[in-house]
Amino acid sequence: MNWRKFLATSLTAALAVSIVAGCGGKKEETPAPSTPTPTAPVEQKKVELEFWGHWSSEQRRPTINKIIETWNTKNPNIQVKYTAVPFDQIITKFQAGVTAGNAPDVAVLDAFTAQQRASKKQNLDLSAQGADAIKGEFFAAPWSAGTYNGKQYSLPFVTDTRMLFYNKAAFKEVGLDPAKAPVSWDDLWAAADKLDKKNGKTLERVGFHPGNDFALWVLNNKTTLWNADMTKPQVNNPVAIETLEWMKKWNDRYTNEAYTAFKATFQGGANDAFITGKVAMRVDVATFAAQIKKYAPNMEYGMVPVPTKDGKQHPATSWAGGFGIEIPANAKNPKEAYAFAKYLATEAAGVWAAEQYDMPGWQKAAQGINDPVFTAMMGNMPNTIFYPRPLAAMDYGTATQKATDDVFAGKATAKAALDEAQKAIEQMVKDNAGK
Amino acid sequence: MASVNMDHSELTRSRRAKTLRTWLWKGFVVLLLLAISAFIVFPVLWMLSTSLKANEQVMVYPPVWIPKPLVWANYAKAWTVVPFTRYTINTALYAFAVVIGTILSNSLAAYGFARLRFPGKNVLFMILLSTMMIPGMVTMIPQYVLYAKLGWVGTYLPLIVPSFFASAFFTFMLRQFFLGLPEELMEAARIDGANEGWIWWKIAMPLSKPALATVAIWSFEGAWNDYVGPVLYLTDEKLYTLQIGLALFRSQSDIYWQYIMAASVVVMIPVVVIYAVFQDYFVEGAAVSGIKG
Amino acid sequence: MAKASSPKKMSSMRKSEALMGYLFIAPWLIGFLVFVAGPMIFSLYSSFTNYDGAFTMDWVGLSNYRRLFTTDQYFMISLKNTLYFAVFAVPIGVAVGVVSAVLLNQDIPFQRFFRTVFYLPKILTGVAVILLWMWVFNPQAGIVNTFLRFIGVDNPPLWFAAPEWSKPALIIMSAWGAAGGMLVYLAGLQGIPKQLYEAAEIDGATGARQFFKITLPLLSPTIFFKLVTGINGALQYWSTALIVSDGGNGGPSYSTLFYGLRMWKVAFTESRMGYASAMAWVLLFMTLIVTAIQFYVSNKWVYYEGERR
Repeated sequence: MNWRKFLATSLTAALAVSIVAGCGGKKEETPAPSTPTPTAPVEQKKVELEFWGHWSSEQRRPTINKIIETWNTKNPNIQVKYTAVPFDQIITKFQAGVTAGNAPDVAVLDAFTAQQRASKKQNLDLSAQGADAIKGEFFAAPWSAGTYNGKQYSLPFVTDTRMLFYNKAAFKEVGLDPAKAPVSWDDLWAAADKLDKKNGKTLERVGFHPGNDFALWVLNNKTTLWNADMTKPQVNNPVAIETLEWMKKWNDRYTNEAYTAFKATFQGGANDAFITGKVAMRVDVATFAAQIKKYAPNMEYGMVPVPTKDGKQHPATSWAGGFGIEIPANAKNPKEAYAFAKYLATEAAGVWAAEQYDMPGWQKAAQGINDPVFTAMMGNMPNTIFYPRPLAAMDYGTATQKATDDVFAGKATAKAALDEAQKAIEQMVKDNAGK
Repeated sequence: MASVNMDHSELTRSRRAKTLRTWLWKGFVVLLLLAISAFIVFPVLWMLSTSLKANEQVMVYPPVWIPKPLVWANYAKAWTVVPFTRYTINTALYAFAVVIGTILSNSLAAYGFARLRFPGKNVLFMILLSTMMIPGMVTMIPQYVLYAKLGWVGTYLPLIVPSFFASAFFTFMLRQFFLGLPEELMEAARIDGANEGWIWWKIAMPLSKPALATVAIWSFEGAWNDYVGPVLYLTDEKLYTLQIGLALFRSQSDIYWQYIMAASVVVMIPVVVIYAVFQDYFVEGAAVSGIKG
Repeated sequence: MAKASSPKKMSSMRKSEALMGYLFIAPWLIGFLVFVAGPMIFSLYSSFTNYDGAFTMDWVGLSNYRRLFTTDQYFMISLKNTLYFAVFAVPIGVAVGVVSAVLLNQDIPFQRFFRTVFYLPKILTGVAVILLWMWVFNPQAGIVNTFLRFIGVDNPPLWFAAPEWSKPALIIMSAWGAAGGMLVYLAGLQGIPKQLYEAAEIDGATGARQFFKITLPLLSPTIFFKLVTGINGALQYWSTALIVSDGGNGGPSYSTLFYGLRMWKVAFTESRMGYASAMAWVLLFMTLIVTAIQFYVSNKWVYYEGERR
C-alpha cells in the first residue's frame, strides 16, 4: 500500500527533523558561555534574563508583554524573555531547575511555598540584595509570606483578601435591610434563616455555608492551629473545637449531601452559585467582584468584611494568598535579576493591577486605582493575615481535612476528631524533625 | 433409500438451524455492543456537546445535551488562543519519532528475552520488570539532573532518545506475544541457516503485526498525551506540545470549559485517526495467522 | 544434564545464541545502564538519607524504613486503600477487556465502528474527564443518582462524599477506562488460528466450550501480561485521587489516600524526597513479591506455544 510507504518516509523524516529541531532549540536556549566576563563592570555586561510565570491567556498575556517591553526598552543591557509554564508544574520545574543549576533567573511562584523553598536554600536571599529597604511599601500580609528567619526570599506580586459577598436583591426579597450586612456569626445565622429557600426536599437557595476551610475560620475566631513560632500544633484547642462545631452546625442545616452537591457547582463563570442566586451569602476572594461584573453586571450585591463571632473586626479576620517573585539561589546574575524582580513587584504590579483587576502587593499600586472594589480591598487589608504553612508539617491539612470530613459526616464529635488530628500532626512533626 | 433421504434433510435442517443460531448470536452481540457503547460514549458526547455550548449553558443543572445555539466559533477560538498549529507539528514529529524508536528497540529486546537462551536472562528480565515498578516521581529529579548534565534540557532529546532504548512495559508485552509464536517455523528457518536477525525481521515481526500495531498505537498515544515530560524538559514556548498548550489553557484564572473541551476534541482527533488506520493491521494479522495455523 | 555433555559444536552454538541474545537485548541494557540505573540507584541511596529534592542529603541509615513500618500512621491506611482498589479494579479491568475483545472479534456488522468506540476511553484522559466523572457522581444532580432514584433507590450513595463509596466510584471509573484495554487482547485473539475453532466446531464444541478451551488458554499470555502490569499500575495509582479528593487530601476521611498519593504528597508537598524514595522501594519490593508469585503460578495456567527453556 502506498500510504504505508509514505508513512515510513515521513516517520524517518520526522525523526531527523525532531532531533535537529531539538538540537536547534538547545542552542537557542543556552546563552553562549563566552559572553560573561566576570571582571567587567556591571553596566557593561549585557545579560539576558529568563522569566517564568503561569500567565498565558489572551487576557493575561498582553499585559505581561507590555510590562516586559517597557523594561527591555529602558534597560538595553538587561533583556528579559518571558516563558509561560503551566501552573500545576511550575514549582516542580523550578525546583528541578535549581537542583540541576539551570533554573530561570526570575519566576512568579505560589506564596504559600516560598518559605519552604527558602528553608531548602532553593531561592535567593533578597535581603542581601537590599529588599528590606522597600518592605514598608508593601502590605504586611503578603510581605510576610516571603520572610524566613528574618530574611526576605520572595517579593509580593499579587495578593488577595477574602470578603463576604451578599445578594442585596435576595435580602430585599425576604425583608432584610440590604444596607445592613451581617457583621457577626449570629447575624449570618439569622439572615440565613430568612434567606434559605426550600421547595419540598430540594434546596433552592442556600443562605450561607462556611465551606470547609477550617484553619481559616479558626483564625477568624481569633486563634491559630499552631503556636506562635509554628513549631507545635494545637489543633484541638477549645476555640478550634468551637469553630469546627460552628461549621458543623451550618453543615447540618443543609445536610452533607446538599453541601457536596453544591460544592461541585462552585466553579465560577456565568453559572456560579452566587451569581445565579443559589447562594445568598458567601465568603470569597475580593476580586470575585470582577466575575460578577463580567457575568452579571446588573447584580445588586454587597461586599463587606468577613463576619466574626463577636462582630468586631481584628487583624486576622480575613486571609490572604497570592504570588511572589523569586530568584533561584544559584542565579547567574543575581543583581540584574533582583533589579527586574523589584521592577515587577512595584511599578509593573501597578500596571498589572490596573489591567487585570488583581490586588497588588505594592500599596502604591493599589492606591493608584480609583475603583470601589479596590477601595474595599484596601480597607480590608489591615484585617487580613497571611497564615503560612508550618515547615514542621507542610501537609497537616490532610489530618485536619479528615477531622472536618468525619465531623461533617457525623462520624465523630469535633473534640474527638480534633484530638485525633492533633495526635496525627504531632507524629508528623516528630517524623519531620527526625528527617 | 429412505434413510439416506432422512440423513440429507436432517443435515439441511441442522445447517439451517445453525445459520439461524449464528444470526441470533450476531444480533445479540450487536445489541450488547450497542448497550456498552452507549455507556462508553456518553462522556465523549458530553465533551462534544460542551465544546459547542455558549458560556451560559456550560454549567447548567440539569445538563443540557444539545446546545442551543451550536457555537462552532469555540473551535476557532480554541485554536487561536494558543499557537495550536505549531504545537500540533511539534507533537506529531515527537510522537512519530517515539513510535519508531519504541517498535524497533522493544521488539528487539522482546525477541531476545522470548526466543534466545543466554546466561542471566531471568535475572535481567526481573530487573527489566522492576524498572516498571519504581514510581516515576522519585526518579524524576535525578533523571532531570542527568539530562541537564548531558545538556539535553530544552530539547526533545530527553523525550525521544529513551524510546530507542526499550522500555519494560512494551518489552514485556511483546515478549508475551513472541512466546506464543509457534517454534516450528523458526526452527525450520534455523535449519535452513537463517540467523536470528533474519528470523526476527522476517518471521517474528510479520506474525506479530497486531501486537506491533498495539505498540505503535499505545506509544503514539503515550507521546501524544504525555504532559509531565514535555513540561519538565521543554523551556522554549516555540517547542511546546499540544498537552502543554491544553494545560496553559486550563491554568487561566477564568476557566472556559467550552474552549477546553473544544481544544481537547481537536487534540483527540489525531489519536482516533491513527487508531482507525492501524486497525487494518489487525485484519491483516488475522489473515496471516490463519494461514500459519 | 544431557545438554552439558553434548559435543563441542553444540556448545559453540549455545555460545553464539547467547551472544545473539545479548545483542538483541542490548538496546534495553544500554538504555537501562545509561538512563535508568543511575536514577534508580540514586533513589535507593536517597532512601537512606534525608534528601529534600534539592541540596540537603545526609545519611540517616535505616531510619526512613524503620519509621515507615513503625510510626507512620498513613502507611497502613494507604496500603489498605490501595489493596482494596487493586483487588477490585484489576480483575474487573481484565474481565471487561477480555469480554470486549471477544465481542469485537466477532464477525458482525459495524465492527470497525464498535472497535473505535471501545477504544475511546483509552484516549480520553486527563483532568477534564475526571471532572466529568465527578459531575456524573454528583449526589444530587449527577446522572448516576438521578437514575438510581428513578428506579426507586431512596437514598442513593454520596459517592465521592462518603468514605465507603469513594473507592467504588473510582473502581467504576477504572472499569470504564478498561474497555480501551481490549486492544491488546484483540491483538492476542488475532494470533489464534481460525482452524482451531473450525476443528472444535466439527467436534461439536459449544461457543462457551470454545471460549474456555481455546480462547482463554491461547489468550493467557496476554492476560498474564495485563495482570502483572495492571497490578503494578494499581499499586501506583494516585493521580485521579489527587483530583477527586479536593486538593489531594485523600478525603473523605482518608478513604482515597492511596499509597501513590501519599508518596506524592511526601515527595512534593513535604519535600521529603528521601522518605518518599524509601516508600517507593518498599512498594517496589511488595510489587516484586506479588509479581514473582504471579510468575510462579503462571506456569500452571499460562499457555505458551513455543517457549525455549
